[in-house]
Amino acid sequence: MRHEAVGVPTVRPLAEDVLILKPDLVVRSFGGGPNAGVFFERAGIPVLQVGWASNVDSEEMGSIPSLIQSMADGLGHPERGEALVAEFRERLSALETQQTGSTALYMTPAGVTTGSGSLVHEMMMTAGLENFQENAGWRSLPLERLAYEQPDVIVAAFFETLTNHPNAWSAAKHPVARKQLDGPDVVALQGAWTACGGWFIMDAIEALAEGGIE
Amino acid sequence: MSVARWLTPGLALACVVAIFAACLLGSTPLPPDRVFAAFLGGADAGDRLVVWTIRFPRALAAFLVGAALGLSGAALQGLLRNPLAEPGVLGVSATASLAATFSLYYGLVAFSPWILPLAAITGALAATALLALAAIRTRSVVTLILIGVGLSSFAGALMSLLLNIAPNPFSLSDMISWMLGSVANRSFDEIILALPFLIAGSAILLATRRGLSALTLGEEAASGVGLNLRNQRIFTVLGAGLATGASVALAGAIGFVGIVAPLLVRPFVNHDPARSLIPSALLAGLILVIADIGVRIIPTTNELKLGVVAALLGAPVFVWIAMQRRAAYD
Repeated sequence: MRHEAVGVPTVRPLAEDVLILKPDLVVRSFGGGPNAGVFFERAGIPVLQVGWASNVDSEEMGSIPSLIQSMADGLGHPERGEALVAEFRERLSALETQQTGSTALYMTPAGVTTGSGSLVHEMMMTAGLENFQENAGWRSLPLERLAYEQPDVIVAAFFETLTNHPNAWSAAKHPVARKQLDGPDVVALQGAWTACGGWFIMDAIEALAEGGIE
Repeated sequence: MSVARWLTPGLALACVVAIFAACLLGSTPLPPDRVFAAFLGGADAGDRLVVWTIRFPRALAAFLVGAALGLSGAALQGLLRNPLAEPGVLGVSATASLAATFSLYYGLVAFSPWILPLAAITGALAATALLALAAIRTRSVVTLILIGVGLSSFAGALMSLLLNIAPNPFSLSDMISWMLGSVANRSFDEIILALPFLIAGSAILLATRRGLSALTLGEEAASGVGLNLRNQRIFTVLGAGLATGASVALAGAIGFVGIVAPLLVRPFVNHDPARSLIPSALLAGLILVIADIGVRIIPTTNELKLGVVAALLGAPVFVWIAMQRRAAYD
């Protein structure tokens, strides 16, 4: 799908640049600033807001199936949404038999990792992994702890993105962190796989689960 | 005089103690005996890894950067006979930082890891050369400082331009580190790349220090006692450019430490620039090691940048010196 999107004309999220295209519908996440949605609606253009995912599939707000369905409903194809959600849940239940309990550390070129309270953490848990990072929220890589303990799996995300040059002060550049990436148990996640709320997050979860088993 | 005699050994000892103290701090609690054992190659592998690859390189980087800036500051102050001359104030650090960011931003670093220190040093040399040229043309210290401030602002403006067109938040965060200065996550890899230039710059500055003493007599009198003014300027500029550039390659732009250290040292060495070089380097190194300990202890959500703390301590001193001098130059 991403390959098909290559070459589609793009505009900056400026109200004027968008209005001149006379769109039938604006599908937006955060581009254009917090007032953009209200502005387009006032100009008579319906706006479909892409929600914020906070969990893989629970009863709470912000689950991926609920986001898929709300997007499908907003685009006028509820039945396609239902089909995607059914497939998503089928793949999810297939994973539930594969709880390995392996520990995993999430790493990015910017040298950050995450504990509980993030979608990445939820994805790792769903894949049957334990998060190596015990403290909640986004944090710098625990270099000192890595000197004593090793996670079973390294989840390396965004390392394929060319524009994302490594920060010269990033903890990911430190020899202790680099050594982790050289190991055999590295699951490389494409940055786009973790885009909040997409059904393709299942691709990432499956890759994580596979990494845990190996 | 006894203070003067013990100044250098005392500062050297204080630096060793501060670096050891910095190695005691970190997310893993390590008591002094384990840190000591790790230094000597004993203890377990984890302790050695923490001390030798994480804590010691960081503390050493802070010391080396401080020492390079203190030495460059003291030498530039001797050459320009102005206590406000310093790589940060004169725009040398900002220009070096800009050149380093430029080389990273446009991917030049991909060709060789040496490109980064070389870019920082080229930036620093270009700025110091420009300042030396200006120093020849004008005898006014105020004009020279203003040229430095202008240079610093111009480098800052170009840096802001790069920030403005940064492709993503990660690049933005990287560039901010170049502007604010930090030794977080430094390892021996970066130290080894900067060290040859740092040693070369320091050696040049120390080898030509006698000329700085002669310059305290004034340029004509210094020429009269046989000082080759042209060579003195060239070597001081070259040495300060190499040392400052190397420090920027290691830690980004850190200002004001090059002013504060020589200011504190000068009264103990009879205001002799030549004798102030080594104690200034040691004191500036000590200040940055202690400031970096502060950065790690202060419980902020995001770790403070070392350059921010250095500027918070140093900028008031800069204003104080400037106000002391006002009467003499108005």
